[in-house]
Amino acid sequence: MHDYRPIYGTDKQDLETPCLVIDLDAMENNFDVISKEYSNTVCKMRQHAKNIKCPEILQKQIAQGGTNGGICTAKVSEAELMVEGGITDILITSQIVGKDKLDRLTALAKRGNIKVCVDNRDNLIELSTSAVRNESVVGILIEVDTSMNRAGIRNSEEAVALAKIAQTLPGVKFLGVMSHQTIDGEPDRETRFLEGKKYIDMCLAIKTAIENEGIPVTVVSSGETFTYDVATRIQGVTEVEGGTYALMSDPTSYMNEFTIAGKVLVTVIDVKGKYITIDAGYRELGGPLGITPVVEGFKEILEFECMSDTYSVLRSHSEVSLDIGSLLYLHSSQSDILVNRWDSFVGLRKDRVELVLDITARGCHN
Amino acid sequence: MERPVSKPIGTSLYYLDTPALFINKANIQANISKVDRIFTESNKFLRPDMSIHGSPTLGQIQIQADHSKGIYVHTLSQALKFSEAGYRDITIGMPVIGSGKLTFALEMSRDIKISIPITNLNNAKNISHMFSESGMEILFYVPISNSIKSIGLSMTDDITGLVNEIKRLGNLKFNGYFVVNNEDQNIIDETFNSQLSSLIESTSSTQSTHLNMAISSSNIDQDLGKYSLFDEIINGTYLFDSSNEDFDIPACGVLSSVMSHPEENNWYLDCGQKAISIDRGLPTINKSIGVKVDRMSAEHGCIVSTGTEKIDLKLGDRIILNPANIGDAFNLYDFINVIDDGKLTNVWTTEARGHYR
Repeated sequence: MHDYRPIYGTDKQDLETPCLVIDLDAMENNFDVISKEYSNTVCKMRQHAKNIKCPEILQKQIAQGGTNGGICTAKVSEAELMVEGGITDILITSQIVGKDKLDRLTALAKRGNIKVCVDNRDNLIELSTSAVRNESVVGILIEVDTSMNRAGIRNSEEAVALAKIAQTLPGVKFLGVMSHQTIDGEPDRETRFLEGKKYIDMCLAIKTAIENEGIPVTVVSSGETFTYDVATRIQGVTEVEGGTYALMSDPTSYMNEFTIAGKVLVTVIDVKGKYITIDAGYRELGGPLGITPVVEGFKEILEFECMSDTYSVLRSHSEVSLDIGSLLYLHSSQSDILVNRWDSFVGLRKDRVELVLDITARGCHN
Repeated sequence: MERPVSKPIGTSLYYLDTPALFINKANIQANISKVDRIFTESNKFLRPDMSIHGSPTLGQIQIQADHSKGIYVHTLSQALKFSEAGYRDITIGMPVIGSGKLTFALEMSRDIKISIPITNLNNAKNISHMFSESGMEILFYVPISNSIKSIGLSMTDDITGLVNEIKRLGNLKFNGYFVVNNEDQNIIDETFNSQLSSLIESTSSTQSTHLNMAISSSNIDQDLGKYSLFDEIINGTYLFDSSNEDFDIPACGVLSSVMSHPEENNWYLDCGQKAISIDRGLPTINKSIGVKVDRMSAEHGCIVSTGTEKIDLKLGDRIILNPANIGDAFNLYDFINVIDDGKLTNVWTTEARGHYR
């Protein structure tokens, strides 16, 4: 639906704003961190597509190394887009309910190696029925709630019961367990390791409980950006579902081996004393429950005073040299929320446009 | 883009693939009729704010009402999408800064009447220069605001001086003033009206010159009587007013499904921040069924029971969510499911969605 495609070679100064930009050097650095970390490990990266929604970019990490050749998606529609984009090993990290969606999922399993997370017996049975109807086989991972208080089984008894049922059903193949967790604030490396290991161990305990029933567990998919280097040091974890690291966001910038690659280029459209108006607001940036982006290079100097639909007012805490027409970069508070609002990425290297990519899975809510 | 499972026309709302953005056409039409009656009794025009939904097809229903003069959108690229659909009189909310956007405005103004805001002389000079090279003219208005939260000049600024300077530049035709009045900025009172009257007098070329006085108002119902100096009212939210109890289904909403129920009193919906937006608050649940939205992650919504009664919600059950901000929710969808009498009657596209330039 987007109509703006700057020609390759366009200088940053000549881009029309607001514009969602990828700093290609920064993104490749982030991919390189992953390929090095996972180069000689049993555990591999399974990059999450929900942060990027663009198969071409996900393919770059696969090509750069460190992955198991697969990706995660949050929704069936994202998975469909990725299969069409040439990536066929996919773990859907949400529960998929309802006949229509399950049929779509099991039909997709004829075109790729599709796995999905479950936490409910009835859902598992419906999934099996659908897979039989479509003559396909879907891989099953049991989601374990380690700390998020979201979807997922709460104890080993539930997990064992589900694994036993999965083993008896046609059209599904029980593979293992999955968990996702988060960490608050800006933890140091030691805290990341302690907290991350605590959660991942909870997932591994479920694995052990299932194995104790004589059911083999071949996949433990646990860990994310903040534990990307924790999971590799824990025996038993086979893959990590990292997503944020690709483009990064301000709240995770404490992990300074990664660089912020996803940014919104905006223009100053008004200056009134200490108040500076820019041409991006809620629609372009998002500001979930008041969490606002950060202005690159002005973190302690410019803060968001207010956001409107399509513009925002920044307040300056000290004198800044900004005029109408000045360009600024914004770092998002959450990269996947940001990317989901845009139809294309403009890839810049050394401030010149090197590529423009459609965000084909934008809006794939279903 | 969005990829729902397409359902046949006639499908019940509650059998649509989820999450799904929908409008209830009867409710929307009732809202349009109500506003039309209000405007019939006044001497004012309604200029619907189409940037809320971004759908030229939905907009057609709005402008079919007798009291619409033209439309309002935030950005030039939204204006382009509406002009492609045949709209010919468009007020644009965002200032036009930079040569790319000026060229864009120039090209668009060859075919349609657009009016753009100007708040400073340098911007006006750039616009004048570009339009003079093409021998063309563009309408401009001056936004007035008493708050830093809105784009515009304050009554304490030398608005008369600016307008008169801009008029001298050429190729820019003064179209009038634009005032924002909403819950955050209740600007209209006796003092403001008096200042505005003086301003109108000092910036009209002759006494008979008519300036286009537009006001963006969040509450047409209560405010119209206060707007004696204005001839155009800009509003978009009236379309989605769901307070009419004649309708079981709200004017718009997001249909979602229960996708996980891991423990008592906790359910997870397949609609999270990416499918409804919580930028301006959590959504509410359409009907009182003993649950509320507790929190939302990117992909999922968590609902919890509000009392002690046992709630019978199963996997796959449908829940209608009311967005905290309608425009923010529409901004996430490429399709609008049009519901009439509880059934799907059409699917419209939000052509101007994502057009942020």
